[in-house]
Amino acid sequence: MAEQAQQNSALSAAVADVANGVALALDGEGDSYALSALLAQEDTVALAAVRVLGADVLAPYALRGDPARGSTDRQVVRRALAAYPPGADASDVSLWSYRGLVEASRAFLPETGADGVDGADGGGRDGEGGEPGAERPPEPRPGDAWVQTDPWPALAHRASQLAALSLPSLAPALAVGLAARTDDLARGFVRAVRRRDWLQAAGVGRWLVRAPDVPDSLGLAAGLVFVRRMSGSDPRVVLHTTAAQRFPGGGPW
Amino acid sequence: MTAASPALLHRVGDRALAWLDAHREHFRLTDEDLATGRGIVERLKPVGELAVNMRVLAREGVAGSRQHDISVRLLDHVWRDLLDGGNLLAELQHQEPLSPVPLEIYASLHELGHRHPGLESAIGLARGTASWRALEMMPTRRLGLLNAERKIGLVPSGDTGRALAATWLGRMPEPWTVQLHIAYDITHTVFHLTDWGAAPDRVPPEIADYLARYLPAWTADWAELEHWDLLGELLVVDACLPRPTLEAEMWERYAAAQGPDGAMPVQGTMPVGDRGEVFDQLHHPTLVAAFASAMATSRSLSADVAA
Amino acid sequence: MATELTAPVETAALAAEVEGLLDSAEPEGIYRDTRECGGGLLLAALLLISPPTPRAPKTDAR
Repeated sequence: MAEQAQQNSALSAAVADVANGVALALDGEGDSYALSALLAQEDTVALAAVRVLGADVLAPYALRGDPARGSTDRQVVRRALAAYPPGADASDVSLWSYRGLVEASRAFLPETGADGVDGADGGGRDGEGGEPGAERPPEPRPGDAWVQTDPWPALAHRASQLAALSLPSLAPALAVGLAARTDDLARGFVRAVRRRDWLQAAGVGRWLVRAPDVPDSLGLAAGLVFVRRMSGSDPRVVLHTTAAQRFPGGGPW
Repeated sequence: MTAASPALLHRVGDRALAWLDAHREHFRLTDEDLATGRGIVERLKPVGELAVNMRVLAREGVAGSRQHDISVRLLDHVWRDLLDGGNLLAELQHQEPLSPVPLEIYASLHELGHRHPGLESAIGLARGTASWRALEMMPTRRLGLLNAERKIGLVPSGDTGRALAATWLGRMPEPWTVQLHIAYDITHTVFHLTDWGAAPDRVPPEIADYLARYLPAWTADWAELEHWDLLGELLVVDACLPRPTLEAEMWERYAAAQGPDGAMPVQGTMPVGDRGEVFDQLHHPTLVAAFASAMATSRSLSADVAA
Repeated sequence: MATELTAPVETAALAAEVEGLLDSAEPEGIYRDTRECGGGLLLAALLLISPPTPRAPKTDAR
């Protein structure tokens, strides 16, 4: 299985490391978080891990922003976006995830006047008050018809892949669309736990904790604890379950 | 999500019934079974299940003339040949006066018009004791026993609502904890509560909602595992809901698992080997296929099928 | 960054891996339930339409 082959790669290890750091920061108050401090070095693998985790790398800033550290992290994000733009044949998930990282950077790390002088690369002109020499990253318009049309198993799988977009104030249209399919996501959660697909279950759980009408019978809180433990505390699962705890409710509806 | 066509639903049962008819002699208890008494309940179980199926077919009335002829022949076979006109059940009751087993098997046959006064008297004797009501058993089975009493016109020896509350489904726990044996507990609670699908409206609305919400997840999962025996039972549960889905994709996969002779494997592909052993493995899922088909065909013609 | 300039092949491979991780297929679900299907069931003496009590040597489909 391709996925298993990837589990031992350098990228998977980097993704796990960053996920672990984000989850720890979310467990605390997030006020001493710096993405740049999590990356051993800003190499291609680290940036790829940032791109894989998407908006979640900035999740601690959604709890409490820190403009001083933020400007460095904003540049890290821009490099990751520049290094791994969605290709011509990129999936909707890739496009959405990319867009989520763009939106998270804008929402959680708003640019300040200080950015022009503390940029790591220094020099250059600020086109829009942003990082020196950096263009605003393009914002792809990925398709969203699937939110209405996907059968529930595919919907839950895709929603889980995009769990990072459940962070507050990102992709409001997606959140509203998924909120209309709470029962389908609940079915997806049940199926994912049955299949021992802990990552999918945890990701779906993040949307469900925000849903306005999640049925009590689902036992979601106990389910997320169960998933976390059964996964053997897989860093990506822990990131999802921790985020589910830290960002309950509060959707844009 | 689209509903399966009545033709597909019907075909599964038609073929299953043909297999059951062709193998009706395999249901017979051997002289050795009777002499030793060993495994007699195990051997009687398929006979009782066959009786339940004939009752369902007679009730749902969707069988068509060929199916009707087969089911009459099979019913006659069950009562006269396999159960010796009920004498076998009466003998069992005499050996074990407090056993609920004869009643559980007799109930469907009684509804189909067969009578054994001696057996009924022996059942009455057991029911007159406090012990009968105190018998320890799994909650789903208690529900089934109360239903069996009602089927033969007796006042149930306990409260159905309390029996339901003691089942797994009655408490509606976390749906993601469901495993194989819990899933069978769920299907049996629905079977007994609804009198094998005769009275779907006996499922309380909150339980019907719970099932409508989570049944698709369980169904999809055991379909993926190719567990046809449980999938068939889950398809019966769907057909017992106020708005059954009769989901085409599930029914197509289920139908595709059926052998050309109508047999349904428990899981995966058809077993091979000794005829008797193969029968032991096939009779249950094939009976379930006949049951599921009868229920679903009937509901597809009458119910408000979910979109 | 230097590594990006000197290792375009690695970057391309990483980009493909990023895509794969982002839009990963569902893992196969065949590794579960083996125990429950193996016959370790607790069954009452007689439950009509419940699965047959597993008997001695039986060839399980899986």
